[in-house]
Amino acid sequence: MLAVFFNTAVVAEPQEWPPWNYEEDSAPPSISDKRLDGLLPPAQAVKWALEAFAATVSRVDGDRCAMMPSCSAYAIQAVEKHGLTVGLIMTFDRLMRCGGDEYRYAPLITARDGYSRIYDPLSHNDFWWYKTSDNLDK
Amino acid sequence: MHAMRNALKKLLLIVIIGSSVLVAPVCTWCDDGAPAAHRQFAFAAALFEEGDYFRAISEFKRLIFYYPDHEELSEEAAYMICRSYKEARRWQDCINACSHFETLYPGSNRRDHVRLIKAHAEHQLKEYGDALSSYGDILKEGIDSSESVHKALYGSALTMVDMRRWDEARRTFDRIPPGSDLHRSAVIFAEGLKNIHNLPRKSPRMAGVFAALLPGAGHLYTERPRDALVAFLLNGAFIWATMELIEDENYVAGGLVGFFELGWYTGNIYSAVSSAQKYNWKTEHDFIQGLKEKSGAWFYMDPEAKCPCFMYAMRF
Repeated sequence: MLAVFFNTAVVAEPQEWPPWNYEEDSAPPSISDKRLDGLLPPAQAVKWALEAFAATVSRVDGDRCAMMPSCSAYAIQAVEKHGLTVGLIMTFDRLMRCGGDEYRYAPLITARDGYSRIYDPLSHNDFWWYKTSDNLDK
Repeated sequence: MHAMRNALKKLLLIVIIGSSVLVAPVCTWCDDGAPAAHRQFAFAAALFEEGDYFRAISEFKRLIFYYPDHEELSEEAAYMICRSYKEARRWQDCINACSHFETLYPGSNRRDHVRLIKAHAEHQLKEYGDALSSYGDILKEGIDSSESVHKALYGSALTMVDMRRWDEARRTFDRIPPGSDLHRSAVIFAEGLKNIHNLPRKSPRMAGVFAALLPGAGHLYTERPRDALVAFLLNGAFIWATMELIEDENYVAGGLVGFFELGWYTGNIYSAVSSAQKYNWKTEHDFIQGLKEKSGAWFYMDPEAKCPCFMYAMRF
């Protein structure tokens, strides 16, 4: 399955210009309830677990993630957008990259708490294989 | 005496009423409205010049509403509404206003300029097909030597650049004749686009294969040493833990750790492939931005943006 996925996706070239468009309003769009209702039970369970982590552990641990959105928020978005399997793969990818060399490719933005973070939304990491007109980044 | 006083009062009253009638301003709605309409337009134009675009739009709409028979000013006001939305970066509203203008004033001599504004707004919304169509309308109906046609060619070429249709963009730049103001910029851009296929690139397939063979090798290939080290150490630790647990016949824990290692391993491959794609994107993006600077397309830092960014604008 992995071989099929990578063979089809790995040579994909982005057909459009970059996902980055800093001219756009940065107000987060909302994800439609219709799409949330479409999640299978395992994906929904993982999503709940991530939300529980964000609501409990993150509140104690604080805003320590070097990237925006935070890794837990990124994981929730990935599972919502791409389902359980690809969502988890992208989550592991993000956890490995968090605070690493991404700063050389992504811009810095100032979060609400006044600290600078590396801007790394979902669309920056799936643009080369996922085509959509919706901007689902938060 | 009493009668004289009454007569004087009446005379004074007549003088006051008579003078107020004589000096009263002419009723502005009694004439054909021309001076008031021009004043209204001037006020709206002043707001536009100040950068108060949304108020300017309201005032232009007020003019159109109150003086619909004043065709020349109504047309100019409709055109200024299009420009105001463009300056305010309200692209969809700009497109709607331009479409409305084209419907109301099909024979206007501002039509090409409005189409250029509409195409620019469509480009900003990444509706590249619509932008090319709008530019195409100008090219179909315009005269080859007119400045609008040259601007439409230039805009089409820039749109094709953003669509990554390099060869088509280069051919479109080549169509701009030497007499145009945009010719020099077009030549620089076209010459630059010849080298786009020679840019250094990373193969996503190779990055994936390297990452599959040795976690972290794919990231090294895409010039991300820190990510490579993290991937190598994480995968190494989890593989070692899994093997130790299985050797100790602790199969449940080994399976659990192995499950997480599967996640790290596939995430490492995905990360390497994605890194190669991002590397290639950045290389192209930096090259095109450099071409735009060199060719004279405008760049300016938006002081109100929430992050440092560059935008380009075409000279109209």
